[in-house]
Amino acid sequence: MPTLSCALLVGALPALAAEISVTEKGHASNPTWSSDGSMLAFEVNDYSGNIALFSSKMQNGNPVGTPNKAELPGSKSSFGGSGSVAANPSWHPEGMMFEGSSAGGTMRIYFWAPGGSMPGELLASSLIAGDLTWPAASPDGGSLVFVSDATGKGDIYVWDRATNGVTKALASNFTEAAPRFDASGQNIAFSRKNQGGEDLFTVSGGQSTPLIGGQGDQTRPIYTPDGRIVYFTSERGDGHWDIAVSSGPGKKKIVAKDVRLPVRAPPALSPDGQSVVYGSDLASQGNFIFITRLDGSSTKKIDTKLVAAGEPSVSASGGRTFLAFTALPDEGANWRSLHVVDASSSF
Amino acid sequence: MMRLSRLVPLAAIVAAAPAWAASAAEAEHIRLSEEMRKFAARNAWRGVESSYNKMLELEKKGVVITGEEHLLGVQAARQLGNVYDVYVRLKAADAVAPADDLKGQIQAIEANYGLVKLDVDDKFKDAFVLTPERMPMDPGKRKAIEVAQKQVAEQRKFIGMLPHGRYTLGERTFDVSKEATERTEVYLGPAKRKKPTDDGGGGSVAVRKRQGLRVDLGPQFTSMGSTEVETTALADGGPGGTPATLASDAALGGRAGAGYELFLSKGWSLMLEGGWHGGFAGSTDANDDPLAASVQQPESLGFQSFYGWVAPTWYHDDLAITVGPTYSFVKVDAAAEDTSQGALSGTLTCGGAAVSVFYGLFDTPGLANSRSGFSLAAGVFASRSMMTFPWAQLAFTIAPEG
Repeated sequence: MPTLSCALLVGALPALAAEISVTEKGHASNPTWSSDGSMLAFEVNDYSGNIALFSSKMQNGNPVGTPNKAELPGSKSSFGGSGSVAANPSWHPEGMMFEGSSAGGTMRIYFWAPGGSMPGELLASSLIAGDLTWPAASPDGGSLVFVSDATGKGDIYVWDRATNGVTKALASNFTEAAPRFDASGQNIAFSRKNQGGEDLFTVSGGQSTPLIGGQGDQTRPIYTPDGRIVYFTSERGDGHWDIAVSSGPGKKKIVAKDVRLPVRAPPALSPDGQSVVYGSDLASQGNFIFITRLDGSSTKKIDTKLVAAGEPSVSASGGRTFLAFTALPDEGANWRSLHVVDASSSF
Repeated sequence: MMRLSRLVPLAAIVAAAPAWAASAAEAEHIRLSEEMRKFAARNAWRGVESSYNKMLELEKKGVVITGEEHLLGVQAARQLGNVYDVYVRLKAADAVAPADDLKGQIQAIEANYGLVKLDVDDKFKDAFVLTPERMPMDPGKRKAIEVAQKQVAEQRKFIGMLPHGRYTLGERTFDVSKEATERTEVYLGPAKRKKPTDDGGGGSVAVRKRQGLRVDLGPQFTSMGSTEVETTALADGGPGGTPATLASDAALGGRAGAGYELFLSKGWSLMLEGGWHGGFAGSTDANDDPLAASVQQPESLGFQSFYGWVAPTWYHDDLAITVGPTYSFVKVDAAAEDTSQGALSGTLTCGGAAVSVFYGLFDTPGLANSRSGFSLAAGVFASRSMMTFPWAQLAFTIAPEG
């Protein structure tokens, strides 16, 4: 059993299911809904050094037209090299942000407005140097938190949209990653590499506070609307990943065990922020997507009829709730595919 | 025969000249194209921009810029934040190699940006900063705004495209809206005016008054015509009744005028100008060298006149076209080489008309709200006896900023 829930409800794969495909060969991964559910971003990784990023307009859980590929500036010309990476999408109220680099160059943060012709580099190198990763916007869209390795290790910076200024969120001699704003935009949760493992911290006003430490890695935190922090933890070791909830420093509760760790995403939350959605790392449970209440009161599961289902992302729009996830079509399949289902009855 | 044979290679060279020029232009095109690609590969977009602009000059020599080259120009303009250039180059690329993707990009610009002219009078002393109500996230839009902010700060003027939205320039708020059918124009004049639309409102919110000093100065060429004129009306001591033929040899000289342009309404002003228009060369029959005549006839005054010119001016940015009637007082004193032919001498009052096309190139040093550049002017004097003196001038011109 992948969860600690006390109740388990099983649902069949909803009738309305769509597979979103592109001509590029590779694993579909990291589906990410826009906040209004009108767009869905996802990656296609050929595992040969190229990661392409796509954005699909969605309506009633179905793609409208062909997904648009994010073309980095210069990559369309015959002079663009191979090894192009566009990955780790996150949504801002006005568009999508992602990490991108061409031909093994510096990783920068790009912004791509829906319907826009081409992504553009969001932060000029004159503003902040180095490889920029982990972009995440504040809920009001006025700030962006990200990581730069300009000093040789990952440091957290905040970009203010109104002033176009970048400030360091905290002074640190460690490497930080995966920062996320809370609902107020005043607090940031992040992970810090410390003695080989990752621990969770929060920072507010330049002062960092330890949140959760311990064995293994505690990583990819995400705030719930009520201020709790949900994260992945490998404290059990042996490659076991669990999902835990923290309501404050030193407080934690494991709500799901042996989950399939997404390629890059934090734990997926339900639209109301009261449940976490995940796939199982256990082969016998690989066809299910699980929905567990953060208070541990119940777990539902959706049978996808597919193999190794995971990387869920949930969005509510038009009074319905849609679940995007990736899975292998069958045991012998080469590439993971992307699916969207209407999972309203499960939420 | 010998001489003719020597001419053959020359003739061949002359005949081949256009082809040579074309191939030279094409060779330069190839060089620039390679240069542009190298710049692009290094993300050196200012270099791409420079190469592309040089390539545009070659279009005048018949060079055809490829769609891919236009698209590199698009990328350069995009990187530099010149959205209007992006728009124009996308259209050029689509004209060469039509593609739905290009049409989509053109439509995206039309759907998100509007044409704007921002103009801060040199005499405006208050602070003037272009500020968007909300800085967009889209880097392309941000860049467009930042470029406009820089130009306004440094040049007090911006003509281009801005993302749709509400902005403030100085104390004036304006909208760049999707619904606007005309370019949004904002002008901060020397005197504070009541804000016309505090709530934005979009569209033009103010118009610079194109008004101020006008000076035209430069060489002119006047044809004295080939009209036969009865010397009884002109000669002084010559054989009465002998016609003097005013051959095509006319007066090279100068034309200098100064005046004032009065603002009428947006795009229109009225110019009042007076000045001197003279040719130093004498001009009579059998004298086909207008410069030589004045040398040969040092006592000749040639053709001298003083004119007045009242003309409406249509203007758009740095382009101004002035057309209107002239009235001149003309004094002619041109002796023939062959004195038996008599001399052209006397005074005339002439009506006429003149047209001038001016293009401003730079701000006039030391003169507020003034542009300097070059103008091409042409006109005609016509006497009551229907003597006509067509003329043309290339002038250095100072005109009000429009």
